[in-house]
Amino acid sequence: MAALGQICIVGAFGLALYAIVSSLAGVRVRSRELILSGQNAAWGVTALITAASLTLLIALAVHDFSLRYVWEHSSRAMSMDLVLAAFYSGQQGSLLYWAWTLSIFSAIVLWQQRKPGPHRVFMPYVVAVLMVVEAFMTLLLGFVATPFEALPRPPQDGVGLNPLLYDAGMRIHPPMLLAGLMSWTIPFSFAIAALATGKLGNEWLALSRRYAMVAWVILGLGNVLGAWWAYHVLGWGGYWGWDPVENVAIMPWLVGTAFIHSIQMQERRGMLKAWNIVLIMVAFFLSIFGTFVVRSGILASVHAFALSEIGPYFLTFLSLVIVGSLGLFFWRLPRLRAENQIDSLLSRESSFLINNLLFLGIAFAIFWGTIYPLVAEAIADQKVSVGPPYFKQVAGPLLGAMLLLMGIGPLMPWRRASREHLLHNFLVPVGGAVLGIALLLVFGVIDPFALLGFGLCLFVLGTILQEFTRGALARHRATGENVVLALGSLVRRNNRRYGGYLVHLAILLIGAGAVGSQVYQLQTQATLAPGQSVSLGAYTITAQGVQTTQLSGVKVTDGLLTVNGTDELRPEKQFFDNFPQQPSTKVGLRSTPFEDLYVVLSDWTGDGPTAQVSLAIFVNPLVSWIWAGGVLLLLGTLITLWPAPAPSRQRAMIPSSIGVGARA
Amino acid sequence: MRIASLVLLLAMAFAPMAVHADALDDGVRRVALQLQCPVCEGETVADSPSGLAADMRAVIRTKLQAGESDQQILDEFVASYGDGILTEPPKHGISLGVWVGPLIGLALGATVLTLLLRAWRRPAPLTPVSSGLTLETDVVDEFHRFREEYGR
Repeated sequence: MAALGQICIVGAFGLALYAIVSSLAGVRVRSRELILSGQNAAWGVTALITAASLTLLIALAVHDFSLRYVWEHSSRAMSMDLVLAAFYSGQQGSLLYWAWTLSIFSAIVLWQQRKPGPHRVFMPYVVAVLMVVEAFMTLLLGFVATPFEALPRPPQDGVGLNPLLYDAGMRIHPPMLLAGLMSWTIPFSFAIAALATGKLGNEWLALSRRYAMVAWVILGLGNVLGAWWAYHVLGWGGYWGWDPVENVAIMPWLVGTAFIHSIQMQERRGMLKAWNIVLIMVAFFLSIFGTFVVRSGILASVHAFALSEIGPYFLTFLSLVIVGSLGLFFWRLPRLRAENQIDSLLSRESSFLINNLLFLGIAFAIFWGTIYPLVAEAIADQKVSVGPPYFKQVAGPLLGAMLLLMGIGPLMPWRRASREHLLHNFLVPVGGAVLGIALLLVFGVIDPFALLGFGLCLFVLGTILQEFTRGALARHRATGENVVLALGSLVRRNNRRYGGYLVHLAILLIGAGAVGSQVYQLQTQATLAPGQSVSLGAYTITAQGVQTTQLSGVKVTDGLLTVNGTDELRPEKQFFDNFPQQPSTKVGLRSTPFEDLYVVLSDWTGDGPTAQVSLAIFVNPLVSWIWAGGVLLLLGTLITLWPAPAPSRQRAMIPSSIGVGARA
Repeated sequence: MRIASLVLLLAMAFAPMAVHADALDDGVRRVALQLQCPVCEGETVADSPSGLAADMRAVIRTKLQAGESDQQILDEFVASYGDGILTEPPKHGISLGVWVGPLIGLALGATVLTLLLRAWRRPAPLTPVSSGLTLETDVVDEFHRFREEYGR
């Protein structure tokens, strides 16, 4: 097994190198055969990495403990789905998973772009860039952090998975996040191809927009699922801790968000060409950085960084990629002139520019706060902790500004907004938000942060609902469809626009959930003998002792609780036989659309129905809105990505006297 | 709109009904949330399951019972562990840099943006945009809306 996997990895490394040379040489000497041979080699890389990955999966499935990786990350007691999830639970395996998904995405790109067309000229460079990344990963996997290291004397059983990772979230969150980080490589490769060929128009954007959207949604969901996992498993009552690992995963997503907005400036107005290339480059750099940090957790200390085996390799690779990309960029900079000018500060254009400033500002603030402990240690040899208060204070106001802009930007016309236009578009949403804030005040919401946050959400909600209503009504009157049908076909026909609004709605849900749970979380702790109760919010929790069950490989203790006299709630602690010192938590959760009752069994004395339990109890308002936002985020993005319908006869109905873009 | 705000209000209605079990527990948590657990990664003393964090919570409890203020307790922890114990980096010394960085970044970004806007913003005649625009469905619907809204 070990030898087979290792051969596949080393073979993939060799083929990737060949693909780079062959593709670039093919362009140089104008040989179609060489270019094609490079593409075939890329297919070969996909096949070999797939074979290596299947080898590891099979080794896990048959409990082949002669592989160190299998021994370290799985055990016989684990259920099969967890055994397979162990594939991406360790450093080497997750790097292999990363390389594997990249090879699959590369194959999809090759397949989608196989037909002749103008994109042809980009493909050799795209292949070369993808294979450079793949060569680096297989270099690591083959020679530095190999998942196929053999143990001389195979043990009888494995160590098993880290207890924190025994959760449904584990099966979906890490692969989503790693794939999300990986997928920025694809749009990046098109940007490099555009620079290399000098074809810096909209072609590369048109090709990479979809890939960027896919990367965006995968990484976005990866982050939401990460929050969900943390909420269910870590047991501190929250879902986002501004941990370095979380921060590095959100940064490329923020820069990517700036990119998918900013490219519209280029598509519509021929502006920001150079900037868009910079954005996608930064998103890619950050996702490589993120992969590395997520996989090694180096940010605790500079020394850990130096000690990490893969650290120096990642650093070298990242530096080379940055220098190379920027060199290419500055070489082409003279060709990246804007075709248009800004007509007015009150326009869609300037709102996109502010959008970019805010997203990059947030990303930079997070980046700076995340690496600052390293900086302080390196230059002053002092230990500095940068915890959640910093991120909340710095990123909070910027996120609020972002929310405001999310309401304003989409309603701004291109080029220039008139006073009538502003009045026409903003009267209702602003009025609605003011009314909403007044109502909130009447009902006793006096926290200024909550008022501001909910007020902004209501304003943006108003703008979105107004857009849907106006669009549907206009279509209803123009075509005679009934309003519901009109709404449907509106979304279907203008999927980019209305799908985008749905994504904005998803962000609103997440924002409202974050504001609600930040400001109105209730928390208490209590130690209760059987029959004793504690009240928090609308809940009275009564203890009934504990129940301990021995399952295969794990001992589970349930706290037996009743909520408000009737409902049962059973928070759990699990003690895995291989990790007795590291109990894992299963939160007792009672979710309603408006709030979650969240109970953690922290400790207990005695056993059975007479045991006394210590509980940490939280009431978290609106947290389910965050998860609903995640679902809507996916839905909205899918609608945006849905292939546009064939051009209809309606085109002909436009009178030629209407100047295109005069108001659109 | 209004339904949505009512929904929000319903959710909020529970908030003022908070009955806290123990004011001392709240005090311990309030202080512990501001302290970084020295032996964990990215966990506060309030949330960490480690033994050291539990000891520190007990110390906080004793000090609160003795009538010390939150700030006094934090200062004592800083005296023995250094500034690194605080989750919120202080706004002086080396930690000041972490606060200043984003401000400088934003200021730089805003300056570049202003300069760019000034350079780009020249009154150009209102000619139809030419670059790569075709009549897409969304333009057609936009046109219908335009006609509807302005009655032309």
